[in-house]
This record gives sequence, C-alpha cells and structure tokens, in this order.
Amino acid sequence: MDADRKLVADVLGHRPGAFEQLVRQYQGLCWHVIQRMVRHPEDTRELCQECFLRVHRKLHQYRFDAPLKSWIGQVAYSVARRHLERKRIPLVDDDAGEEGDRLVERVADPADVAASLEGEEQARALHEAIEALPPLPRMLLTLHYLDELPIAEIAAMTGLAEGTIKSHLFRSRQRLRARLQSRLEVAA
Amino acid sequence: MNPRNDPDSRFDAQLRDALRRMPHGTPPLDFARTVAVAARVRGHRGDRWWLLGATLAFVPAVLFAIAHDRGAWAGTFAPLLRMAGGAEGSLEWVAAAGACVALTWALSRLRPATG
Repeated sequence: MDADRKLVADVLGHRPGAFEQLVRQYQGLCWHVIQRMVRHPEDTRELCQECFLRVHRKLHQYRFDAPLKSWIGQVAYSVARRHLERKRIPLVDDDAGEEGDRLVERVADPADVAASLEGEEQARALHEAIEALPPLPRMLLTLHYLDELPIAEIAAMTGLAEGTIKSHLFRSRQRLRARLQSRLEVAA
Repeated sequence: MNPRNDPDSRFDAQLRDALRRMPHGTPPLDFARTVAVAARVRGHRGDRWWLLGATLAFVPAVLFAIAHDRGAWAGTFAPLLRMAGGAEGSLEWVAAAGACVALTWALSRLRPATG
C-alpha cells in the first residue's frame, strides 16, 4: 500500500513519467479484464485507454480503502460492462445455460479429457472452448487462473458476490471439459 | 496423491497455459506512452475550459461596466452608438455584441488541431 500511496502522490503531483509508470504497472490487468469481455482488439485498445484516462481524471477521489489494483480493475470492469450494454451483448448467455447443463452432465472422468489431448491440439481446443464462453465467465477465468487473483479481490473489482463468482468458475470449468470431451468424441 | 498428478490440478495448469497463450492477450509496447500523452493533452484542454469560463464571466462584466459609465466612455462609444442608431439601449447592445465576440474567440482557441 505504501508503494501505491507514493505512486498516487507522484501522479497527483505531476511528477514526469509517474502516470506512465502507473499505466505500465496495471495495463496487463486492465487489458485482461477488457479484452476477455470485449474481444475485439481495436475496441480493447480504445476502452483500455478510456479506462486509464478515467483513472487519471478521478485519481484524486481514490481513498486507499482498497488496493490501487482493485480500484483500477473496478474502473476497467465498469468500462467494459458499459460497452457491452451499449452493444446489447449479454454478460452471461442465459440461452446457453441449458445447453451448458446438458454438456456438463456428460463430462466423464476429467483425467480422460486432460490426458487425451496433447500440446498444440489441446491448446487450440481450449482456446476455442474459452472463446465460446460468455464475456463475464471468460473474464473471471482469466482473472482467477491467469492473474491468480483471489475470489475476494475479484468480488471487490466486479461487485459480484463471492458465491456467484465461484459458481461461474465451476460451471465454466465444467463446460470447458464438456466441450473438450465432445471434441474427443467427434475425433473418434 | 501428489497434487500435481491429480486431474483437477492438471486441467487447471492446462487452462492457465491456454489463457496465457491466447492471442491479443497483452497490450502493445507503446500503449503506456500513448495513454500518458493523451492524459497530458486532455489536462491542457481542461485548462482551456477554465479560460472559457473566465472569459464568459469577466469580459462581459467589463464591457457592461464600461457601457454603464457613459460619461467617461461616451466619446469612445459615440461612433458605435451612431452605428446602432443611437437608441437608448444601444450601449447594452454593444456590450452584448462584445461578449459574443469574446465567446467566439474563446471557442476558436478550444478547437483541436487537425491532422
């Protein structure tokens, strides 16, 4: 938190290079949140820039009641969610829920799925399966598994209940396994 | 059981690896610099909005003050009064016209550079 305080003080004090340093430090998180929800590369860049410009404008309101990382993540999530709402893209696909449930019921022993696909084929299959997920679960998977954020921190960023996040993560993992298994069955 | 060998842990590792390797997963190298420059430009433009506010408030106030001190400024405004037909409210007309000119100038300063 001391490092956060110093960085915020430097940005508010207009120290040269301070804001660029802040952007470099948190651009990865911002990019993960927005890109996983929005997907389109040009939109991602534009929205990430909008996120950091908003951070720059509102930084004087930041009260250190949460880590700076969580606060910036919150802004990023808000920017992405608003973009999807404007485009009328749902965060969670309710229609796919039934299909997802049917797929989840068919998951066999996870060891079979994990062991049967190797290297590039496995990576490609997982990429496709992840891309097929709705925006919110896709983003939650990235924050939890790639950025290794604890559930509590993700909850603070998104405003979602911890139980809701855990449910999304569990169902997403099951859906991914089910899709991989379907792919195995088709290949066979 | 060794945690590394259990299927759940293996799948999590594969999932993590797949997420790391997905395309468009990292920002471009010049992203931070571009954003910092944009923030600096926007800050300067914010300063110009203060200039507009001050212009809107200060310049008309000065013009009205001048317009109401008829004795001291009568000579200066005489040609303008003749242009406006010399009507009773003509000094206020001149002040309003002056405020419009000031506003137009201030807005022209805010127009972003093209190219």
